[in-house]
Amino acid sequence: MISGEEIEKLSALARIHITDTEKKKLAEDLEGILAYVSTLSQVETDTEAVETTPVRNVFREDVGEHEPGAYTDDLLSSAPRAKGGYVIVKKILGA
Amino acid sequence: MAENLTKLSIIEACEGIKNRQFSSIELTSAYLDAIRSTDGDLGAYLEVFDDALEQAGRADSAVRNSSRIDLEHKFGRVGGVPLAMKDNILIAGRRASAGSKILEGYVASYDATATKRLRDRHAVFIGRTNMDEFAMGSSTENSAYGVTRNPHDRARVSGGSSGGSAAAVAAGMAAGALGSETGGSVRQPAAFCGVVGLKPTYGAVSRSGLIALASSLDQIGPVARSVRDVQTLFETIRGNDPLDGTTVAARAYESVPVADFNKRLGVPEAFVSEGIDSDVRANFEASKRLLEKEGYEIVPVEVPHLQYALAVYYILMPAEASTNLARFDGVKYGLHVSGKTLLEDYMRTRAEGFGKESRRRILLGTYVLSAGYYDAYYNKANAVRARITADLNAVFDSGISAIITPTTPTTAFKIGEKASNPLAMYLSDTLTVGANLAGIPALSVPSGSNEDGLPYGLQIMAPRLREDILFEIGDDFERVRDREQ
Repeated sequence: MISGEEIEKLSALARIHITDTEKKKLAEDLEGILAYVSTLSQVETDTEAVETTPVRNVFREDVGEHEPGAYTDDLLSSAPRAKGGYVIVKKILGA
Repeated sequence: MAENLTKLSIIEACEGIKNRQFSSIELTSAYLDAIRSTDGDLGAYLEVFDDALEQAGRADSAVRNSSRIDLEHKFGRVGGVPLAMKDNILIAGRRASAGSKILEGYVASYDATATKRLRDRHAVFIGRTNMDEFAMGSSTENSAYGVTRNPHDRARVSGGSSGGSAAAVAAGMAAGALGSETGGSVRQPAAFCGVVGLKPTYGAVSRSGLIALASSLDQIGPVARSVRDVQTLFETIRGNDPLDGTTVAARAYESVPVADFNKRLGVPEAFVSEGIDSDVRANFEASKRLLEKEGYEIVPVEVPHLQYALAVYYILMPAEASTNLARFDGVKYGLHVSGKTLLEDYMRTRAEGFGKESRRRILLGTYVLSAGYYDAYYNKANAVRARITADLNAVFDSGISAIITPTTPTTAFKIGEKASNPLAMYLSDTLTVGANLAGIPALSVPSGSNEDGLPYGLQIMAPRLREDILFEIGDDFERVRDREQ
């Protein structure tokens, strides 16, 4: 059973506001899906963690820097609110 | 003449342009006309690029200024040919919305590597195609911009999430297209629309510039009207990329014994015996007979954990999606909804910007990754994923060159039919997700249609890096299928 509180907790973690009307349907949907995927508990598996892909820790040399600011205008042109080379956001500290 | 131009394959069209039999402008114009007369009631394209003819003109200019020999290298087999691009593949200077309102108006600041490789060969990008939002869906009904209708029956879906790409190619509105795969999103719409679709080996094609859904599963995949055309697109876009650390090494394909394989195919009989419509099953049996006529031996094989593939997928994919979609916060790009605080900005932007299915999957992913559930769900799914991979590889190691199944359990369903039941929709992926989980390549080839003209698809799966096996079998199948028609 997925409770309203559980949905609220997920909503906070996922940073998505969920209305009261949506909560019930979402809880039902998630319950249905979780019931289906829980069939995995039947499968015998080893307890050790498994690597997902064949490659691991692919690095490159720390060279080839571009000029500072080379892409700033281009990238900031997408930002909903920007000014003077900065993205504008609401207060973070003491919020 | 113009109508005939849009019937040419990619290979034929490029050849014609290189041989100066017709121009890229003529070919592109023919496709633009087709879009004008056909896409009104299909909705495959979100945007037809206003510079398509300019791009074609530049290709024609390259033809005029190059020797025929130089053109082979400059154009490969795609130069001058109009291609459609799924809305989640970045083209510098062009909008990309991943079918979502949260990215409405976003203009890409760089090319996806796959885009760049096509651009380097003078391919023409004719437009961007509709898709389920952030590639989450199997019908293109989850697009924030409307559904794409199936060219064979406008009351039915074109499949998803690359529905726009598949429909565009099937309806003669592009010579080929790029889509993307996470759980079947190229193969399933290809099957529903009666065209060929490939999911490459994981790491064969760079994911740089592909708007991410699930990073351990995503791959860009080509769609076209023939196996050789799909092969052409694949060979143009694949390759090692320093911008994507998961791409296979540059030499990986060089050591592949191309087209050297035995003609033994495996069918996971237990797996395909249930949950598949009887007419799809009958069509699959007919496909097996056709392959046998071409000298293939078909044997039953066991893939014991394949029955859990869908459950594994619907834990891992939402988990990875919840992480990848965290970047959409109304700060760096896209939709911004203002609340009283920064946190409210996030909460409201994401509530308004994401559609229902996206929100559902993000919450599901958040759940399976949260403390107390992580081990039971996410870790468990990863462990079973390793089993599925091992099962499939064991089949290939036992002397089977490829595994075949129907691509989808049903033909294209009606628009709205599965919209209210998420789980029913997820079940459309049951035959395709295994290949994504194991990172192996898989191809869907049209295998006929029912009495209402709805297409069926045959799926072929091969070991990692063995797309060559898919193309050979697929090519053989096309030939015998057309001969026996």
